[in-house]
Amino acid sequence: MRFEYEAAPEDTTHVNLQDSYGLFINGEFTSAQDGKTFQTLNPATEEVLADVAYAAESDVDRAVKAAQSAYDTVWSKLTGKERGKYIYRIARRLQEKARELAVLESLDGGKPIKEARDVDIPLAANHFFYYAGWADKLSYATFGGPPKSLGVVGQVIPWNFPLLMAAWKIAPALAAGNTVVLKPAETTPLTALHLCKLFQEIDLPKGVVNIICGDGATGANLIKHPGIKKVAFTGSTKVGKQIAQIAHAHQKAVTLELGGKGAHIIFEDAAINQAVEGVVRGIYFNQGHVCCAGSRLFVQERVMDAVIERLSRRIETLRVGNPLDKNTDIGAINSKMQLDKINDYISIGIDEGAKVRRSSCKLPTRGYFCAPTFFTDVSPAHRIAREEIFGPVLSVLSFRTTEEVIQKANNSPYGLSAGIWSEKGSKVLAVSQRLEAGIIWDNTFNQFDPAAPFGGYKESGFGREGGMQGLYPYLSV
Amino acid sequence: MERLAVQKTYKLFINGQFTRSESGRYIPLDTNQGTVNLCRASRKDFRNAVQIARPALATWSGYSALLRGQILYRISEMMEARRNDLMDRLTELPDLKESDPTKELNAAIDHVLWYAGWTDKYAALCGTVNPVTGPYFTFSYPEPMGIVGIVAPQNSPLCGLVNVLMLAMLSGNVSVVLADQRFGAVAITLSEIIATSDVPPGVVNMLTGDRSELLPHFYSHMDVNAIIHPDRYEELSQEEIMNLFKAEGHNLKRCPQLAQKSELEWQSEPYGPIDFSKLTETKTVWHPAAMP
Repeated sequence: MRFEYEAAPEDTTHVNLQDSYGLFINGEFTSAQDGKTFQTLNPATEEVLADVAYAAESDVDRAVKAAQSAYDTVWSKLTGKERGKYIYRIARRLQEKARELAVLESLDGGKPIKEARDVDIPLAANHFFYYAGWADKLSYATFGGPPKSLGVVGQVIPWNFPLLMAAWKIAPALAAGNTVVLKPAETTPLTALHLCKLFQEIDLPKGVVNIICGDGATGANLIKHPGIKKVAFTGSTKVGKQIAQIAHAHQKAVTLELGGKGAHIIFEDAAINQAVEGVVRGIYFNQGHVCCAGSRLFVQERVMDAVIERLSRRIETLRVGNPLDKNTDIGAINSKMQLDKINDYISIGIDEGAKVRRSSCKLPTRGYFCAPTFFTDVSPAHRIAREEIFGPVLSVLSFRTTEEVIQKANNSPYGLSAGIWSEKGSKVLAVSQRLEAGIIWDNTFNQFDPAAPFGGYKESGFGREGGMQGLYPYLSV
Repeated sequence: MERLAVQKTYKLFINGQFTRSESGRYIPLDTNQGTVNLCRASRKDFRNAVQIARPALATWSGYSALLRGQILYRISEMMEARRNDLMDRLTELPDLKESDPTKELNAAIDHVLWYAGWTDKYAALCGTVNPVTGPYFTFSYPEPMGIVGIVAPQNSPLCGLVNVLMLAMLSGNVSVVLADQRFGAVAITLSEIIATSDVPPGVVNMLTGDRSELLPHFYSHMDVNAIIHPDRYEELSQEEIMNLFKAEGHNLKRCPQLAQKSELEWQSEPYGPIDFSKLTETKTVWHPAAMP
């Protein structure tokens, strides 16, 4: 007898979804000057959710000017204590509206409701709460030096954690005394726009945060705008490199949180069952749309068979499907474009001679879905072992000695995250010290917290978000 | 009859050794004591220096913070011991504008002492224990960025050079330095001091040469992790800066913004911990803390 899960859909009736959304400039929702709009889809159903105003260059200019005016007349004049109170208000309102925002995030981005509900939205609220407290304590973070804000900051964020990334960007910027123009990703603008409604409710002074929607061209106009003093970008390494050039050459401060190809290492003395759970969390969390995903798994030879056997069994139990079902583990791929890219990489892996293993789960007929996948017999030279796929696709490689795996793990232009599984503490710490990565998860993976700095080495970007270190990019020090 | 002095050849300092440019080229430098010939480093000299610096990084950053501090302290000892030599190099400069050489030298030595004392302390300020939610012990600490290309300040022959060099060294970085051409003899004399201070070979590499020739190579080299170039916006046109950064984008070099300093400011204020953090990467480590 086989037990099946009943459908357990999250209620969507309490989400006040509008047919159309404007740009949020100077505290008001406004149409684009040329009236242009674009559509945002539900990737799980391919249905249109809403029309969103598309910001052209003149709209970007309006937003930057509003932010500058708010900086000059209001925000830079407030004490840290008062700024902090506004940010605390944002945190509290986010907590009050957590469920509707979680549903909206799941609808617009395709992520499972249990992740939006338990990870994205609470972490976003916590991030505001954390930085609110810094606003009147900045001189402690700068070791007594006078903390000076920068002015208007331009921020561009990706589609994988839409509201959480907005929080990571806006909270430290406001705490440090800057005003903000932020562009959410083209495919996931809705939670950022609902955040603007919340700004209105808490009486955040007009122009302190402006949100403009659009595509790469909108982002480029924002970054180049002469009124922008600092650029913060989360996204691909390719775009990040272009942004670094523009920003550096124009003396704008810049921080970048870019791609990764995280090394996830299982030593033979690891707790194998726990390690396999960590691998699942590392690569299948959020459909693998995670810059710090553990997408390269290195397994010590003696336990390779045991790991593969358990992982094969485990991916069969992952539930793929309706993101709004509370039992869903893997939701929809964020866009058609991303699904095509992932499928391309799966073909590349097969063509290169790696052995593919996929869950036999049935995928929904509509929407963009991808079964959890991993490759064995992967060589370090394979493209699937070197390039960021940004999907639920894992490459499994083997190693014999500790020195070998350190060398293999570091043999990547990326350096964002790494994971180490071993029950031997001294080895774990020694390997942690040798890995070229900004975040090391020892016997765990994909943990995030506003108090813990996050960011990359090498071509995974520079600057940190979170913690005391996350203030420095927003201060002139 | 007056004794004929032995003249000195100023060579490049690469891998702990003094060597001529592989190109055989030189740059005549007029000093108050006559003309000396500095080596004019080539792209290949620069690339050799980077190649040498990479393995030196593991050695230098692997030293204990205490040992790095003692070695930096040793540099200040050797500067004091060779102050007459440094004074001669400073006084023969035609255009030290605002300050007198004694102040420049004294400040440089004292600043090295300042950095020597920081090596085993800055991590306690810049590092954090992160009070996260959940059963984890989480901490963040600074690690060196790696190979730092240093374009030495043009307005401070010794103090400016010492400050940017120590900023890189104290946290375990290694460097390839492009000395200012006019101050080449000062820079190579400082290298002789470094060579006798137990600094491992390759940790500091000092080049003299033509700035406009070598700058693009500093910015475009794929194994250089960071660039310190404090005069960038004074000496170069916007177009030249743009061209340098086009190359920089290839491997996302860190190009920290450091405050521009006047000749006297270099002498008055050394860098502090916030600046140290600009040449370090923060590594965050999560470890579970739960009873089995």
